[in-house]
Amino acid sequence: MKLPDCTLAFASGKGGTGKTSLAVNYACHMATQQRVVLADLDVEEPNIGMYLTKGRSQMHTESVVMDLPVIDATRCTLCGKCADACNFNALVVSVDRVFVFKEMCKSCGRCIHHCEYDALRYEEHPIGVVNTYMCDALAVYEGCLDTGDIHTKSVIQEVKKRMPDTLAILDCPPGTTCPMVEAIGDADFVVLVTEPTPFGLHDLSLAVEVAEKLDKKFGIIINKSDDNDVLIENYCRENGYAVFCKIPFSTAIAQKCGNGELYYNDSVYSTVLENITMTIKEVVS
Amino acid sequence: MKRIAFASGKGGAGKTSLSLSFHAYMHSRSVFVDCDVDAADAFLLIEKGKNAHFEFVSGVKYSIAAEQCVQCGACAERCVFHAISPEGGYHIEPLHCEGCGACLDVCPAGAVIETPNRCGDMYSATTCYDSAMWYARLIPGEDNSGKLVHDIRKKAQEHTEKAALPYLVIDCPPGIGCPLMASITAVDLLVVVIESSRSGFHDAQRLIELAQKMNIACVSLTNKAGINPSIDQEIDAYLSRNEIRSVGTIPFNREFTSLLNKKQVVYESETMASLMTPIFQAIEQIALQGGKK
Repeated sequence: MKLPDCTLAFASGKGGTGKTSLAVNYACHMATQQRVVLADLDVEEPNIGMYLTKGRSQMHTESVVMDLPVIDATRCTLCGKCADACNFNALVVSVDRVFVFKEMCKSCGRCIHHCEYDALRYEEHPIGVVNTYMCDALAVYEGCLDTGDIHTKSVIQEVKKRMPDTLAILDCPPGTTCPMVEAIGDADFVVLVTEPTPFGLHDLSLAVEVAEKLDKKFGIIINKSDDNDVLIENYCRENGYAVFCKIPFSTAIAQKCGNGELYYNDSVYSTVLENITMTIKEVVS
Repeated sequence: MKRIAFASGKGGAGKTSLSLSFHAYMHSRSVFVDCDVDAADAFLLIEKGKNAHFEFVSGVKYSIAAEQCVQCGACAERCVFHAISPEGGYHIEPLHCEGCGACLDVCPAGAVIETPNRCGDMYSATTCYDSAMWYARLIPGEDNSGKLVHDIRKKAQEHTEKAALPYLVIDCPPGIGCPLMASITAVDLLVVVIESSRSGFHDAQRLIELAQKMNIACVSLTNKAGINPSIDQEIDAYLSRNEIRSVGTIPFNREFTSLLNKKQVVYESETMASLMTPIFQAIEQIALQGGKK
């Protein structure tokens, strides 16, 4: 079954529930039927590549940069208006120079706007990369933040900018704050992948809170499903949410995923993945 | 006071379960702080009662006073974060507003209002071990995780020093970005929890690379070992090549999950305690020696 062109975000709140393994397998499954792109928006720790080791084309790498203000010391009078204007403490004026802290800067341009001496201008600084490659029929866009950099959100934005208009599967970062918000921001549907544990439930409720704040359609999948599913099912029933899919825990699948192997071709799981498509199609059509 | 942090890079590797177990092992001589402010979970297992609550206010947000607004659109044009839309009169979307104030600079009508940004909560609590814990929650969707981590760690550190306790146990968030960095900066020892899987190993390497850039002493602890023995071997070879000391290996076992499902700290199981105690003793020893390799 095919889906109309839309953007599906796989998120969770809790890390380790299986969103990446599910997103990759689902994308590979859909790629057998239609054009689809897969994006790795977990740019601090991108893992999609662990699963896509065979049938890869050459990787194209593009640097992602941020605009960082630099001071022209010949014009600067150390008046301090730039530092006063900065709400993020990214500029500090000392006895003889102005320091710019890359980690604090959000490239809002306010310091440049307030400088009366034209002593500030932007310079591009690298913060990460976007890697693109084909894996058989699947087009992959992977964002990767430089270690030590903090501009997670900017790298996520740069991945999204490069994606074509077609069915898109987004592997999102864990958590429930800024990076996750940026990752699911343009999604037509959010697949929330949870696990039947107290931590899984708690973090799912936070992720649902974000999805509702952003007015996103979402559905819940219980991964590693076992006797404890009732924990999630009770929460869903009390709040009127649907669990639209369950993927049973299996040591064999844990082994496969742990080893970066795909399971979408296995007949049991291809039926599960097809059922996911049926549910999503009803919502996005 | 020795600060011992548990991080992994990858989510779900077991850092919360293991840091809670470590705190259980040394509950009479440590304070516990949960720095995973996006999704603080540790309290679910060990909180007995809250002692104090603090609001977390960081930076500012901006909004537009409709009565003053002349609909010129200068703010929307100026905003580099695309937080301002003209729909239904100019409006700043709080979730996208970064609090820079550029809109305030360009508004000709004085219609932009600045308000302090209350974006989270901090709690101090007593645990089921009668020890102290600190944790914080960022309001879902908000920003400023790094600052909140910094603040909650500071409170926990001050508490530990005042109580004259020798250890602070830090449960870190996933990833290697701002909140993670704030949780591991200036710790005495970082325990890198390596999930024995391709992703877990990959992510731990990025974390170790970061820790080395930040000049932080590391030891490693492999978790969920045994599912893919070849990966266990690769991890061992990597650690050896990079002269990173391993404090031990915990095999994958469903008992771990069933204990969590009963809301029990894993260390409370006799079998798990006998497996973990030598590991925790090693961590404590190394931290005392100054975390040297």
